[in-house]
Parts: sequence; C-alpha cells; structure tokens
Amino acid sequence: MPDEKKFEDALMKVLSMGKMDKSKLSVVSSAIVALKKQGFEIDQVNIKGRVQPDRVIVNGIPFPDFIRKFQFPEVPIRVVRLFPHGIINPEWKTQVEFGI
Amino acid sequence: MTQTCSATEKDDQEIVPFRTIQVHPSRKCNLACLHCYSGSGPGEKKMLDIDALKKFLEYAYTQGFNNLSVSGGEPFLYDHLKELFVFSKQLGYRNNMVSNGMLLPSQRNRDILEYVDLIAISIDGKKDLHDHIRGQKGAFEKMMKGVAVLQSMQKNFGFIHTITPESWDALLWLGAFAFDHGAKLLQLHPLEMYGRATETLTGMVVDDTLAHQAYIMANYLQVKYDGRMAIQLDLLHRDYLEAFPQVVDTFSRQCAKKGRLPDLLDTIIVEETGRILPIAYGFDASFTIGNVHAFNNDLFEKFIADKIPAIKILFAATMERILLNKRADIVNWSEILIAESRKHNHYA
Repeated sequence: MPDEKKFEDALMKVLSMGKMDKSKLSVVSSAIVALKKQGFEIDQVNIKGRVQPDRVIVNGIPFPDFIRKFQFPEVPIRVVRLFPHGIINPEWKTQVEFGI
Repeated sequence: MTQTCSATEKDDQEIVPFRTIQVHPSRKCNLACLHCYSGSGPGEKKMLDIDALKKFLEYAYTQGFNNLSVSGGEPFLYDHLKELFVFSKQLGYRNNMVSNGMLLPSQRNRDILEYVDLIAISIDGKKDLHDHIRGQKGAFEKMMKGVAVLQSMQKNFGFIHTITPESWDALLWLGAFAFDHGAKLLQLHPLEMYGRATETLTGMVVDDTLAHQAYIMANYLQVKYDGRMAIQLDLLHRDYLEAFPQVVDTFSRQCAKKGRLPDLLDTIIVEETGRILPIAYGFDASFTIGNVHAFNNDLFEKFIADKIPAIKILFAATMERILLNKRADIVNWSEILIAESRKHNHYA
C-alpha cells in the first residue's frame, strides 16, 4: 500500500536520525509506553532462547476492543481470566490472562 | 490438572498458567554462531542422560511445571529428542523448541515435529548477514528449506531474531518476511553480551539508542500485523516496569503467596551437564537448584528454603538499579538480572 510504504519510509528516517539525537526517540517511546500503561497493549519478556508461550497477561484497564483484538481466527481463545476474580467491567487496574 | 497460580482457590480447577523448563540437552550444533549464548558448536559432544531428564520432568510436572522449551545446541542433534518429546507430551507438557531449521527436511526430524506444539526458527537478518553470523555460507538457504517443511506440514511456527546494530534497520523487512512465509510469531530478542558474543561481537552492544529504535519499530510491527502475527519484543520500557513490576517480578504476584517453586519462578533451566538453574541460562552457579542426575523429592522445597530469600533480594536490587538508572529507558531485564546474580556475594 502506498500510504503504508510512505509511513514506513518516514518512520525509518526518524529512527535513523535518532542515532544523532536520542531525545526524539525517547519522546516516541514514552508516548507508546503511556498507551500501554492505560491497558492498550501488554508487554512481556522472555529469557534468551525461550519461545514466547501462547499466553499473555494484560495489565491495566482492558477496553472491550482490546479483548476483541485477541480473536485470531486460527487460534481460538480457550481461557480468559480476570484479576481480581469476578470483575467483569473493571474500573481500576487489573490483570487479565488469556490462554490461546 | 496441575494447580499452580491463581487468584482464588476456585480458579485452581480451571486455570493453568505456563511454567517453563528450558532444557539444553546438548551444546552440539551444526553451526557455531557468533552470538551463541551457550557457546555451542560442532565440537561439543556431551548429551544429557535421557533417563535422568525424564525422571526430573516427571517430578517437576507434579510440582507444577508444564511447559517444555528445548534449546541447545541444535535440538535436532540430540539423540533422544523424540523420546523426550513423546514422554513430556504424555505427561502433559506443552512442547516448544528453538532450532536453526537446517536439519528439518530429514524424515526423522519431520516425525519429531508431530510432538512439537510450537517451533521457532532462528534468523539473523537478510541472507548475507544471516550467513555471516551463522558462520556458514548457504545457511540461509538451508534454513529456508526447513521453513518449507514447516509450511508443508502446516505446523505452528515462528521466527526468533537476535537484534544487533547491523540488523535493526531490517526489522521492517523481517516482519514482512516472517508474515509472508506464514509465521505466527516473530520474537525479537536483543543481543546479550554472554557466551561467544563476548569474544566475537564486542562492537555490537545493544545500547539505549538501539533499544529505542527496536522498541518503536517492534511496536509499529505489532500494530501492522495485529491479529495476524504476534510480535514479541524482549525489552521493556523502564516506566512500564515501574508501573507493572509483576511482569518480571514474580514475587509481587498474588500467586507467589502459595510458595511452591512454579509459583515463585516462571522458568528454570536444565543445562547439558544436568545442572538445574533458576530463571535463565547464565544465572550464577551459586543459585543452583540441583542436578537432574541426583535429586530427591524435596529438591524444590530445599531450594525455596535455602535460596529464594536471596533471589528475592536480588530481584528487588535489580529493579531498584533499573529504576534509578535514568540513562537507560529501555531495558533487557533478564540480562541485567543475570549480571546482578553474579555479584552473588552481595546476596548469599
């Protein structure tokens, strides 16, 4: 797609320039992590050589669209688990674990 | 059903989080990659005794471990790989492995795939860089023949890439490459200065600038391939770690209160010598859990009593060190934790 290619070219340019000025990269990374902290994304890490298991933990307030994102057609979700247990529409920070 | 970690007793009947045993059954490999953290290569012959390993897996399963991740060396060079996977599958483990993919076309290895739930193929970048880091011309082409086998067998597979200063600007290409070849996972792990890399790749340290570049690019790829291919980056932003320490700090999770080893540690390691280590390959030997060749059924209990208090302090000290270091925004938690573990005198 032309727009995607254009965006990716621009992204590469910004990232490459970051070698000279890290502060620009810090601004972008901080914006990303701010979204994550609101529950839009989850981060996990693995040790070297360990394959990412097919389970994710969500920290934050999960929005309805967020959960929908995990509906891979090939890999149906088997388990959805909320902490604290029983909270369906959490209004505070929580933890969700998906088994896929 | 295994019961390991959950918020309520009621949940125990339904939920089984993954708790991993990463096994290095041998350091024998058909390659000698420049970045290999275990220093594996063709000259390594030692292989883990299969009977001792099976006995340990049986014990560990009863304790709550349920996810087997085989690394190496090249796992397909382990003589007993099929026996291992058949056994672990029968016990109830989920079987994962990392491979360079070059040996997949043989009938023996195709047969083994039947018992593998997820296989990740290592890729170091485009053809020339891959061959350079693998130390073998033609390694990329041979790897691709292995990928073709996975495609033909419709196996769930992913790619694992080691991020270096020479490869980060090919991450867009790598995302498209992995997706176009049918991968379900692209895992991005930063180069760690451990093993052979300390001798061969000293100029390729992943500094904070490169970590930012990889972090931003990986997050873009997550959006781009959303719902179609998982992008896993093994780096964390310091602010995220501060907000959600339980992502790495198992002791701050609710399940830690249960106090069994799989409730306290996500991963344990079995080396080719049989030594069992907590958390990650390269963790300081003073924290050794035991050895698969000689253990009793109170192995984990004794380890918890003897060494978990020191590991708790180690985790807290590592977290504090990361949060206080404002020069590094993006961090490789396990690399820092391992380095901290080697200052074991502080924690013992």
